[in-house]
Amino acid sequence: MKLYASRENLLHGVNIVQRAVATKNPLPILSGMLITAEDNTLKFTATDLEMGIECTVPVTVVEQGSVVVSARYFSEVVRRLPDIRIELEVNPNNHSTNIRYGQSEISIHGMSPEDFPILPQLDREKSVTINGSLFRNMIKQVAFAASSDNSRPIFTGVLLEINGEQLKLVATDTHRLAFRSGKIASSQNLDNLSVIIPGKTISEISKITGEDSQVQLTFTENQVLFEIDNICLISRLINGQFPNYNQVVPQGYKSRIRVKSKDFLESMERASLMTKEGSSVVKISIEELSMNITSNSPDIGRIYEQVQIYLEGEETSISFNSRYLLDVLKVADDEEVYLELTDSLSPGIVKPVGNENYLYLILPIRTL
Amino acid sequence: MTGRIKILDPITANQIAAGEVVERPGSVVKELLENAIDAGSSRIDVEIKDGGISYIRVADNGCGMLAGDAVLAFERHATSKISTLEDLYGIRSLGFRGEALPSIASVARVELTTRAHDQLAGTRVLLEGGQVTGVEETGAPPGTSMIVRDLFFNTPARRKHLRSAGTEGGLVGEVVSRLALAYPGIAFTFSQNRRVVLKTPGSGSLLDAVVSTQGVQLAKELLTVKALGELFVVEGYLGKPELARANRGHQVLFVNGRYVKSKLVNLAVEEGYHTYLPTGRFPLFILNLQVNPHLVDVNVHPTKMEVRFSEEEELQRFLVYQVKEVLAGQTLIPRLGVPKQAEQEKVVAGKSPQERVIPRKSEPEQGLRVDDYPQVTNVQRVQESSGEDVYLPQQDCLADYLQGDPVNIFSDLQVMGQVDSTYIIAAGPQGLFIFDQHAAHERIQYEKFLNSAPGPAMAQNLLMPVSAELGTLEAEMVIANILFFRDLGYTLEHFGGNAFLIRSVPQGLPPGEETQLFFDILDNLRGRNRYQVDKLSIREEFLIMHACKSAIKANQPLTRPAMEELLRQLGETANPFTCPHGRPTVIQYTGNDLAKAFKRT
Repeated sequence: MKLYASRENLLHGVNIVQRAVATKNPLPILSGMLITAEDNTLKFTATDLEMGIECTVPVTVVEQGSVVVSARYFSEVVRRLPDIRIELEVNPNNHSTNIRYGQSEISIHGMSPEDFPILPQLDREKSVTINGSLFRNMIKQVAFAASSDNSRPIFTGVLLEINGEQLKLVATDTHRLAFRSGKIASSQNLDNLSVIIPGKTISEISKITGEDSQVQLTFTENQVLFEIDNICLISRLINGQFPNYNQVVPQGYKSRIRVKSKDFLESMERASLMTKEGSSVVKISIEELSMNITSNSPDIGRIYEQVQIYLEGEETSISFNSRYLLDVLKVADDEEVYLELTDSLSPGIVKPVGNENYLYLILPIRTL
Repeated sequence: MTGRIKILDPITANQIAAGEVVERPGSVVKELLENAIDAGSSRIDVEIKDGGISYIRVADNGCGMLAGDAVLAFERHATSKISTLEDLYGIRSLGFRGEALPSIASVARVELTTRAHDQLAGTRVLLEGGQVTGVEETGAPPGTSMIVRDLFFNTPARRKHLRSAGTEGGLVGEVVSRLALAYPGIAFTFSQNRRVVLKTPGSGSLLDAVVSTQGVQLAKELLTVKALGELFVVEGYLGKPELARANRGHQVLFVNGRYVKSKLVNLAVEEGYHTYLPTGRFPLFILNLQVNPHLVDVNVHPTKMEVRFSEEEELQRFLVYQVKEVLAGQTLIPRLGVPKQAEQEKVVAGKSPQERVIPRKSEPEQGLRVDDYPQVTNVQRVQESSGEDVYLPQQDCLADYLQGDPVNIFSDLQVMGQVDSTYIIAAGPQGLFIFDQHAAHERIQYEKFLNSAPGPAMAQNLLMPVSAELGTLEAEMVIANILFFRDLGYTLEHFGGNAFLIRSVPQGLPPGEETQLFFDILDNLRGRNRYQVDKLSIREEFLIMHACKSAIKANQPLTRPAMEELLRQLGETANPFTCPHGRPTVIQYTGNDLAKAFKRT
């Protein structure tokens, strides 16, 4: 294998696939990335067996071939190469990989490409294309609500549903739930699809997806493939039944307030400073013209915040974990949000004003 | 045709009973010692040969027996200790079943010599394999002396199961030690193959008994516990945390003077040591628990090794509290790295700790009053050799030395510097101290969090309930304690059968820990340790973790004022000597230790 490439192209490939490199896996081959040269392209592949990424960059191939190089050393080397034409040559007998730039040369050990797991080739039958910036935005507004507790794997993932032209993403850690729907071009092969995508996969996808790219999603029984420009990301799906989220969303409310997102966020950030370490409970009392946010920690101090609101319905009060409110206020793009409450023990709902596609449900704290 | 079912003859019946009571020489000695103690003796002499297999002699100066009783004593269920069924529910003596003597007599050659104090002549009874072979009048000192020869001579199968003479002798020694600890008011002498191996002064002081049986080194590291509760009186010694062992082999418990094993008591004491010991280490203790006989059932097993208490929860609470009280008031700094030779030189070569004798200070040596005791040889041997052979404590009162007031070592400490950016070196009147800065700060932070106002307990409601499938017993416990769980923040809903839905969890726990903690609490409840499952323990795990994270780490250089402040804050904590995980925060070299290390003594 022998080729010429620019530093920029090499770095792009390395940076993309490095996300899938297994950092803690006893299989040494998985700590490497496979690079394959053919048809004037160089394909980078890495996988931790949960998720695999392929990225193709243009190069000038002199001799075809492939090798597995240590992801750690190869990427560090590439990052520090000068911005000149780079020659890559691999000795097929001992997989020794030579990187030549100017008058200098680095030689690093490689591993046999035959040992590297082959990423499955998926049948493109069930696939759909989504606008990249929409998909990214949807992920941003939902993925944070997924759980980090591996004892119930379903909740570590994000539910993706496709129904006609509707794409829905849902995530919950059972303390709060985020829901977002978006419009896509309908695909007749894909009606009534419902899968759970691992949280790590979905967050990597949102990082990889460019603003004006298109994301093609392909589904099989237990795998999903994302194709974005020159990148393919394949991931297993989480098996299991996601709970019916429609049932837990309260219908109607007794109090609904409209508040400026920025005011609410800033007040909440200050109020959360005065919560006890490890707890982060703030109390919200809704009055006719204002929302009062208080928190009181005997060791630190106390805070009283008043935010102007527009109230429809009854005055009320409720306690929330401030972190859960902050999470949603940070991702609410709209200038104003609604907070809908029923009583101090029922879930509260945060919705952007003027965007019915987003809903965030948060369970209150009960003071004993 | 004759019936197949027959009543066993008494000898066979006794041999069967012997299987339960008389297992080995140690159990014979235990039964005989308990009889001697029940007889109100103030002096008991135990002598064995070949580990007690060929010869056991237990002589006391107790009340003795009349001639008629001496023979009757070997009948099954013959006892002077209880007379009615009611007595069984308030047993105040060690024995009561009336099984020991006939059981022993059925498997050995026994010689009983006894004289009641008001009788002129004594009685000697000889038995072989349970059959009386001779009764005669004889001259004898007041009290009772039992000689058991050729144990299991007529049951070869049982004899085959005995271990070596050395092992059996050791087991007998343990039996004598335990009872000596339980009855510090009785002077025990134990000799093996004509050599005195254990001798207690009978001064009534448990500490003297501990020194005699466990050695003075260990006795120095004990903390006194003495407390009077409404239902219980506990008295004895707790080992400092550094004496903790990897098993429970050094936990000695007496209930009303009877050596017993009680898981309940073990767990309660261990709970008292919570955060003083790393996991997997068990405290050493010697405790004598006085309980109203009506509140304790000793008739659980023929060997009487198990007891049942009727006020279990109250007892646990009492013990946990007392242990915590004792530990809280102590200076518990391990002294490390002291060369041992200096101390070992004081110990006479070739002598086990058991052989050391602490003379009683209150009474002169003559106070042993050998004249009214039949066997004087062993006692004399000790006395003759006591000039050079016996370990004598320094003249300052031993008790003062062991139980000195805990000194606040932190008040006069001067910080000398930091080693490896990890350890703080400080000097004070008590010597040289080395602190682990992380462990020390961890303790400070832990207690700070612990003492901060806990605030109202809060529960995080769950969007999707967690279902918990429980066992039948667990389910019943959940139902019985459902309000208790609710107070902790767990809202539970019965979901049919043994399944429950957890609708809310305590607020502030790390994700994934909430359900784990629920099951931990359930396990604790099953262990009948409800008292320890309070809101505090919900917070505790979290606090320990939090303290560890917020504490300064190793490899962090500190300025002198920072170190001084750290030590000052540590001095203000309730338990400055271990971190919340039970590791030590400080080690000490006393001036004496340093002098020894430099061979100045």
